[in-house]
Amino acid sequence: MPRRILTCSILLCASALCWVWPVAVNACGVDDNIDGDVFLDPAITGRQLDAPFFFDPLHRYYGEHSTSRGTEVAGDSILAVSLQEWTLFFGARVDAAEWADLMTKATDAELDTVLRVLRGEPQVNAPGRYAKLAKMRNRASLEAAVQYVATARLVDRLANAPAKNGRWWDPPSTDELVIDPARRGSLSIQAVAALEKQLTGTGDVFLRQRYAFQIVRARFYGGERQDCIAAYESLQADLGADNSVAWRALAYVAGAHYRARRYAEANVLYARIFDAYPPLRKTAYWSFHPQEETDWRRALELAGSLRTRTVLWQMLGIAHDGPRAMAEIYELDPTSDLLPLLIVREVNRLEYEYSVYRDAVHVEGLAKASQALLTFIETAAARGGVASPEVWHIAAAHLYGIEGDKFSTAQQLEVAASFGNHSQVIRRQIRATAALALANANETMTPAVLDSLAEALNWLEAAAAGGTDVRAGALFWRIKSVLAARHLKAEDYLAAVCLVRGPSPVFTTRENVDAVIAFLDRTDKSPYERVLARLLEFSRSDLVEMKAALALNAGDIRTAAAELATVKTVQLNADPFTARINDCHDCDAADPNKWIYSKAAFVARMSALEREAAANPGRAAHCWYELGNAYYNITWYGNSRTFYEDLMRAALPGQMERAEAFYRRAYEASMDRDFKARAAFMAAKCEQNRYFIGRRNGQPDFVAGEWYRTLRSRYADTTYFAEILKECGYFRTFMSKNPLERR
Amino acid sequence: MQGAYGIRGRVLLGASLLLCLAAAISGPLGCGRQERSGSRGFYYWRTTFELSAREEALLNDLQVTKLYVRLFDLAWNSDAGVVAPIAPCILAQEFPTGVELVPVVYIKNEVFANEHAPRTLAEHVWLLVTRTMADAQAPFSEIQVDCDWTDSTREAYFAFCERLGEVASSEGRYVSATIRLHQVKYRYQTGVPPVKRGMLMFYNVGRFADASERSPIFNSEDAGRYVATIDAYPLPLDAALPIFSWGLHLRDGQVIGLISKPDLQDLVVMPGMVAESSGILRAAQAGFVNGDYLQEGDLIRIDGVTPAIAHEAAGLLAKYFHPRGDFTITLFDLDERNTAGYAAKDLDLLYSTVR
Repeated sequence: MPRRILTCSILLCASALCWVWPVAVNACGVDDNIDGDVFLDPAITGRQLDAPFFFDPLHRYYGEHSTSRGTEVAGDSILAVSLQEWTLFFGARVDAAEWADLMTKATDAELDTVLRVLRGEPQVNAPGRYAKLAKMRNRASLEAAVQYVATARLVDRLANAPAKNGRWWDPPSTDELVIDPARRGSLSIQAVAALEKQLTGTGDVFLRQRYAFQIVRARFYGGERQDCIAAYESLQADLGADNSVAWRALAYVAGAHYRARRYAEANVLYARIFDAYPPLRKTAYWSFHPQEETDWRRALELAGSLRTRTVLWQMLGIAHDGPRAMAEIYELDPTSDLLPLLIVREVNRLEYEYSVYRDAVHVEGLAKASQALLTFIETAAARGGVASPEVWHIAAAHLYGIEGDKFSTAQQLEVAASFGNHSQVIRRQIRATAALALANANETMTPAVLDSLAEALNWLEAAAAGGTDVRAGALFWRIKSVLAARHLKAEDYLAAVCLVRGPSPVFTTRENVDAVIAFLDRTDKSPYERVLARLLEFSRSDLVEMKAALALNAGDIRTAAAELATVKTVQLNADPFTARINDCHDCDAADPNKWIYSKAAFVARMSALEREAAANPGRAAHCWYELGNAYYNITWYGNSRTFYEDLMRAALPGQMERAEAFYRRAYEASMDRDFKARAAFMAAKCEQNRYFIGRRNGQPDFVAGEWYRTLRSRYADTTYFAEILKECGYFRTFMSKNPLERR
Repeated sequence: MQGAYGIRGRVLLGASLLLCLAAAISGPLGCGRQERSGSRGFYYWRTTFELSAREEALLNDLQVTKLYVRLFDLAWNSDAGVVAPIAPCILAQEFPTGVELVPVVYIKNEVFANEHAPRTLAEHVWLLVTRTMADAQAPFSEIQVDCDWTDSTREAYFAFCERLGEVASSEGRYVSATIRLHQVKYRYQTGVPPVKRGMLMFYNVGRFADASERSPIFNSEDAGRYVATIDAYPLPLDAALPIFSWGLHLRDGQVIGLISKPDLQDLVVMPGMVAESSGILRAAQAGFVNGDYLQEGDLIRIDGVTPAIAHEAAGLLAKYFHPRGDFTITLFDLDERNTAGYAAKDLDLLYSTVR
């Protein structure tokens, strides 16, 4: 049978929150978290049962890798259900944890030992971890239960469920049966014989159910699928109804039909299980697999009830084709409670794909699908009688909201609210969809519109606070992005940068930053402006720092120092006045003897050095050298780039040149040849870094510049020169290619 | 008479000098040429090992001496947080005698993104492979690993290969690895796995997510971008040519899946399938086909390697592939649905084109 291979075009979903401006709206919605782009909360269906089947393009089941979603209902797994049933069987007499361990992990030898203890064999001790079980008073029922577990192991072997603990590379141990296909049938017969003997000998209904189940299971793994089906039919009285083993037995019957290629019969049973027994819902869905239209049609004929027929369509809708399934279910039963899940899934899918796909063909397809879904919803809702009508209308509202049709959205939401479903998730979704429509409406930003937007942003921010409502947080981000793009288009850069962080022309000049400060200081802000001011990531103090950084970058150290002195600033990680041949930021930060500077103290010292250089020519070279270090260390290559990086997020241009200029002044001013060599090498590093910054693909790794040549021609006899040679690979390479002439 | 090394000696000397000169000029074609021979192989990639009569006959007729059999895949089980073998090849019949068997393990790249003990994993794989082959009474001297490693998984994968090579070597066997064309071209970035030999996969040259006209299985334009450095690859190489086909399932211009080994004739006659153009079918109505589901409007683009395309691939490979020493040319893969479109002589030509 041809295999389907899912391509990476679906699975590629880059997590990239963009910082770059113009594409903030279009490109930056995709996140590993599906909730990042899907703003219709599928929980509005109100059925927890549906949760694993909410739309999720990245996982088979919704949120299956997220423990925070809670899609697994407590006790949902079949093992948990089984253990609960055993607990009820034993009452409070048996330690549940010990019993669970015995059922799932005890070796055959341990089971045998426990049985012998329970039968009263002298001088036999139970394994330590089953000590409590061994002391249980009413041993008859426990003995019967352990006997059941031991007998059921015969079937486990047939099912190739070895107790290997995942050691797939080990050869089968001697106490395990190597299941040769030719022997499978006879082993199954032996297992069935043992089980039937126990079944005959027990009158306990609970244990009879389980023996009957194991017989069906043994027949299934015995290889003869028809025997499994016959066994189920003959043992239905013992299996009972609506208990875990009865449903599990039915699932084996479905599997037997499937293996015999009776796909229609199999899929009908899977549909029944899917609909009626939550612990096996995922199993049934996973197994549901029509092959051809013929067997699919036959399954619909064999369904036997309207309900099962509609469930079959729902499963097809979840797996393959939501719109087709919706149309078919509606035709069969307009009041079906199976429709809301499919509707919400389809809206989620459209939302998600709108955010992922940009090509014209796909977008056109999505637009058609969206229109078709709207038509379906509105037609059906207008006729009335649908289940959970508020869900239908919210879905329609959301589709309108995606398009920015604010008025149709409002109309639909008003109808949705009128049905009286006041659950929190419904109320929240109504507000969220309204906010989305408002942002997408692309209206002229009149004061009234801005006030509405302010209200929406305030609500979303509050809903997203604490990080528990991921969807609200994502919608908040999305709406901010949409609005930021509109502000940018209108060249309102300040409003844009308040909404979405990132580099902005607003912070490139001191005058612009002053304008931002003035905006923050205004007391007559509109509600929208108050929101903007609150959302701006920078405080007033941050902006003053920014101004100082800009001043420093322009060489105005004194102004920068004065401004920083007015605000509280953080400490730098390392001594920004230190320098090394090979940059090592971690070394500088870890130095136990380092001088610790706040940003303000750092620039204050720079200012002091500047004054000292002017006042004391004898110290000028050393002062300028330290100023060179200071400027170097606040570039990307330096140990204190947090000076600007935490605010500006990008290197300010010209700092490397400024550092090099100070090193040059230091070099020219000093008479000490070793010192001059040091200053020359620091200048060489600046020259080298400027080359790296500007280097394009294909250009050489390094090109020696003026300062390397200066060092070579004039300072080869200095102590510092020898240190450079020892530590700097680039310089060594340069010297090996340009050796000094021997004299 | 002049001495024994007089005139006659000079003639002999001159003749031998001329011979040596001729040999030097003729280079590889001359006396010093290292003889090489290409043996013939096939990949077997199905989950049940069972050769049809035609497949067995092909192996004989084509004088195939090597059969690369995928024994199992290794995948990461995220629920259990472990690596585990999946999709084992079930032996429904004994392996054929007369061909050298090479067990192949396909390893998903995700394994090495998650596995923190690749060397131990190699030991476990070795245990399972040797046991499986021993149970099948099938001796082997080469084991092949197939993994499309990436930058982030390279270190772990290479550690795996190295350890596998150590344990194999301790039993007189060796390891080969599949090498994709981009890994040849960009070997300085991708690295060269520490194995004894490489199997150059001379196909899958395009992105199947690209719904353009060029076949992602093989087309000369895309393949041509990778061939120049094949001979410079620092591993002795064998090579694999494609003879398979697949269907690209398209929806709204996007590739949403692959349908392996489609039969164009069967699909054409399916109700609701309409032939749009050569090699493209459209689903006029939604429905299930061979276990896959087509929505109304979906397209299936049959991407098949015809004998002409396969020969084009072989021709291009022959131009740039000059192995020193023995080598194997292998076809992917042995399946009647693939070989049905080829006469035996077509397949024979593929082998003989690359010499």
